[in-house]
Amino acid sequence: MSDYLSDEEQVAVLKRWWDENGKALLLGLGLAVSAVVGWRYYQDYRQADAEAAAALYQAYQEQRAAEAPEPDELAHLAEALETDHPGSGYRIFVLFRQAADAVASEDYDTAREHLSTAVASADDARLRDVARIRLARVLQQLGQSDAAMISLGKVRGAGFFSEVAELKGDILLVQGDRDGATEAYVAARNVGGGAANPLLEMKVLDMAETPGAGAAGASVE
Amino acid sequence: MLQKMRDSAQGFVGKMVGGVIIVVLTMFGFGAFTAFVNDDPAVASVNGEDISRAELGLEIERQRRRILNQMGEGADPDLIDVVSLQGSVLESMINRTLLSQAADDMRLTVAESEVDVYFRENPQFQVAGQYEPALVRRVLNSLGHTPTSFRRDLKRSLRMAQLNGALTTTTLVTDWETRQLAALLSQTRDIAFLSFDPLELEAGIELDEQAVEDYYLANEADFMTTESIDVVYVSLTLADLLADESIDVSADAIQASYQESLEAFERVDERRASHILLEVNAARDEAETLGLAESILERVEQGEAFAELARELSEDPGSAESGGDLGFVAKGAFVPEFEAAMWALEIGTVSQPVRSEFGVHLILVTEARTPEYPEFEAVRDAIESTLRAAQAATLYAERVRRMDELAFEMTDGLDGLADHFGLTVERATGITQAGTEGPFANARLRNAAFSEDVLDQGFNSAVVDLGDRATVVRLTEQHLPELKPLAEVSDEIRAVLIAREAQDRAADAAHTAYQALIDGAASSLVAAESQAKWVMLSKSRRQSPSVDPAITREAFRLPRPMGIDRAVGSTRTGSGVEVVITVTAVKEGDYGALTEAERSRLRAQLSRNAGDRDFGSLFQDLRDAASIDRS
Repeated sequence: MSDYLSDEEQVAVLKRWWDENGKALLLGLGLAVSAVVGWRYYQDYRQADAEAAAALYQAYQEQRAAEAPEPDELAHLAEALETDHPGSGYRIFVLFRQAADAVASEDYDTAREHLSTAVASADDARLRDVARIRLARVLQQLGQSDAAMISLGKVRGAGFFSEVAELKGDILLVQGDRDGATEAYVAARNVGGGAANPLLEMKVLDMAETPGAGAAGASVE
Repeated sequence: MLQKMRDSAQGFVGKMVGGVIIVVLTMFGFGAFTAFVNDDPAVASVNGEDISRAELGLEIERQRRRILNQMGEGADPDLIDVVSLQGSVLESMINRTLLSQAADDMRLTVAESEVDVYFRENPQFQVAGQYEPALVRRVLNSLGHTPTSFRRDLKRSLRMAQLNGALTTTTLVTDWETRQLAALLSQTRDIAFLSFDPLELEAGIELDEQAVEDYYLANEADFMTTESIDVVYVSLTLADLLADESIDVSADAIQASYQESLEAFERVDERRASHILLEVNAARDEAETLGLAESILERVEQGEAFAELARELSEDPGSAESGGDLGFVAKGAFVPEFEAAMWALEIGTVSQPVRSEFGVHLILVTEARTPEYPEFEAVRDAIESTLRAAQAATLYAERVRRMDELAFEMTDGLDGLADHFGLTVERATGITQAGTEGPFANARLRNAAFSEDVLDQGFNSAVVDLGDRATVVRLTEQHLPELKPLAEVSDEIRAVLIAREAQDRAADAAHTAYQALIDGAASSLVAAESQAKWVMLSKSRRQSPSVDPAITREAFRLPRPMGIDRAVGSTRTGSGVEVVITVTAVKEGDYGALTEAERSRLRAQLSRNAGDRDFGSLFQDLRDAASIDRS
C-alpha cells in the first residue's frame, strides 16, 4: 500500500494511527512492565524473607546444639523469628522445639503456652493441626482432659483422623472409659490400617474382654 | 471467533493486550509462549505442577542405575524390568512433589551455602574421608545428573529433610503417655498350655499299603524324573588359537608397531587447565553472568589468586574445591568452545569469559607437557602379545564363520567338524533345563542344546559364540520325564502320609481339649483325658525368649478373662505342634517397677512412634487434599 503514498502521506498515516492507538498501547506496555517487575520483586522478596527466617532457624538449631547453649541468645533468636516471621514454618518449628524442651524438664505449663502460640500463629493449616495434637497431649498431662478433647476436635485435616482418634482413645482409657476407648481405637485402626501401626493394633486387641472365648473378638471387629 | 477477536482488537482493551504481548515477547522472548505448547507431555500433574515424561524417564534411569550399583559388579541390566519400575518411580516423584509443595507452603528454603556443605561432607564424594572433586563428576554422571539438576534435587531433598527433622525431633514424651505405654507393653499374663506334638504320635501309626499306592497313583506328577539330554559338542577357543602355528609375529612387525605408536604418541600434547564456572540460570541471565565473569577477571588481573577465586566462586562442584583444576588432558576432552579457548591460551594466562552449554567459564592454563613414550625394550613383550592376540582374534572370527557353515553342511555328526579344525569331540550327559554345572551352566549354550533343531530334528546346533569360545552341540540321547517306580518312592510317600495322619491326630486331640475347656471342664480333667501335661507360665511377658512366639502371640491376642476364670485359645507353632492355651490373669505393667534402661527404651519408642505418626498424618493429609492427575 505504501507504494502509492508519498512520504508526507505516510507520516500522516502513522500519526493518525498513533493518535488512535497510542494511548492504549502505552497503557498496555505500562501495565505489563509493572506486572512483570512487581512479580519478580515479589518473588525476590519472598525468597529473601524465607532465607532470613531459615538463617535464624539454623542459628537457633546450632545454638541449642552447642555444648552450653546461651539461654539469652536462644530467646533472642526466637524473638526475632516471632517479630519478623510470625507465621513461618521455621518459627513454628522453634515453638515445637521449645515445647519439647519444656516437656523434657516437666514444665508442662510452658509447653502449653508455646503450643497454644503455635496453634494461633501458624500460617500453614497442617502445622496448626500438628500443634493442636501436641497441645492435647500436654493438656491431658495438666489434667485438663476436656480441653484436650476440644483441641483434638479442632484438628481439620482428614489425614490426621487416625492419629487423633488413637489419642482420643488413650485419653478416654486414662479416664476409665474402656468402651469409649475401644470405639476410638477401632475407628483409628479402620482408617489408618493396623499393619502399618503395630502399637495401635496391640491397643485394639488389649481392649477385648470376655466372659467366654471366641465371642470376645466380635465386639472389636 | 476470529471475527470476534478482530473486532475486539479494534477496541481499547484489544490494543492494551497488544501492548502486553509486546512486553512479554521483549522480556522473555518466544520462549514465553513455548511454555504453553505441549512438546513434552506431562505424565502426571500434582496440584497443577506437571511431571513431564522426560523427567520421569530420567528418574527411572537413575533408579535403574541405583539398583544396578546395589547389585554390584557383573549384574545383568536386563534383569531390571523398566516398565514395572515406572509405577513406583512415578509414585515417589508425586510424593516428593507433594512434600516439596508443603515445604513451600511453610516457607521453608535452603541456602546455597548449605548445599555446598552437603557436597563437601557427602561420603559419596569422598575417598578415604577426603572430598574428591574428580569423584563428583563421575558420581553425578552415573546418576544422569548435571550439576544444576543435582543441586535442584538436592535442595528439594534438604527441604523435605528439614520438615521431617523438625517434626520427628521435637516430639513430646509426656509422663501420662509413658505410663500408659508401660502398662500395655510390660503387661504380664498368667498362661497355661497343653502341647500335642505330631512327631510323638507318628510311632503309633500303621499304614495301609493300599493307601501308599493310592497316593502314588493320585500324585503321579510329583514322582516324575526330570527331562535330561546327553550331547556331544566341539569347542573352538580363542586361547588355543593364540598358540596356533599360523600366527606369526615378526621382529619387524613389533618394531613397526612400536614406531607407529611412537609417532602417534608424539603428537599428543597435554595441557592442564583450571576454570571458574558461572552458571546461567533463572536467577541470573547471560548478560549478568558475563558481567560477573568480567569482574572476576579484573580481580585476577589485580593479582588475586585464580585458585582462591575458583574455590570461592566457581559453580562447578567437581573442581571448585581444588581451585578449579581439571587435571592434564589431551585435545578433545571438553566442549568445543572451552576447547578452542584453552588451546589458544599462553601458559599462565587467563581467558576472556567463554560461553558454553554449561555457562560462562574463565580458563587458566597452568601447565603443558608432552609425555615421553617408553623405550622399545620396555614394551616389546607387551606389543608382541597384543599383536598376537589381534591375529588370533581375526583367526578366531574367520574360523567361527567357517565352523557355522560346516556345522550346517555336515549333517552326519561332529567328527568331520572336529577333524577339520583339529578339535576333540566332547561328551556331556544328564543336562537338564535348569543345569548349573560344566559348560552347560551357560544359559545360551543350554538353550542351543534344547533348541528345536537339536532336540526334535537331531541337527547340529548353530555355532554358539561366547566371545572367546565357540561351540556346536549335537544330541545323542533324550531322556523324557518318566514316572519313577513305586518301590523307589514308597518310603517318601509313607513319610508324607504318616506326617499328615499325625498332624490330623494332634489337631483332633487339641480341638477336643479346647472344646472341653470352653465347655467348662476342669483343667486337670482335660489334661488327664488328652494325656497331655499343662505347662504353666506365671507373669509371662510379651517378649519371652523361652516360649515359642506363636504361643506368646496367641496368649496376648486372647481377650481378658472377665467374670470367668480363663480365656481359651489355640494355635500351631512353627514346627507344627498343636497347642491349647488358657489365660487366667492379666496384670498391667507398672512403670514404677521398670529399670532406668527399660524406661529410656520406652521413652525412645514413644518418641519415635509419635514422630512417625505426626509426619505420617501430615503426609496422608497432603495426599488426601491433593488433586493428582495421572495421564
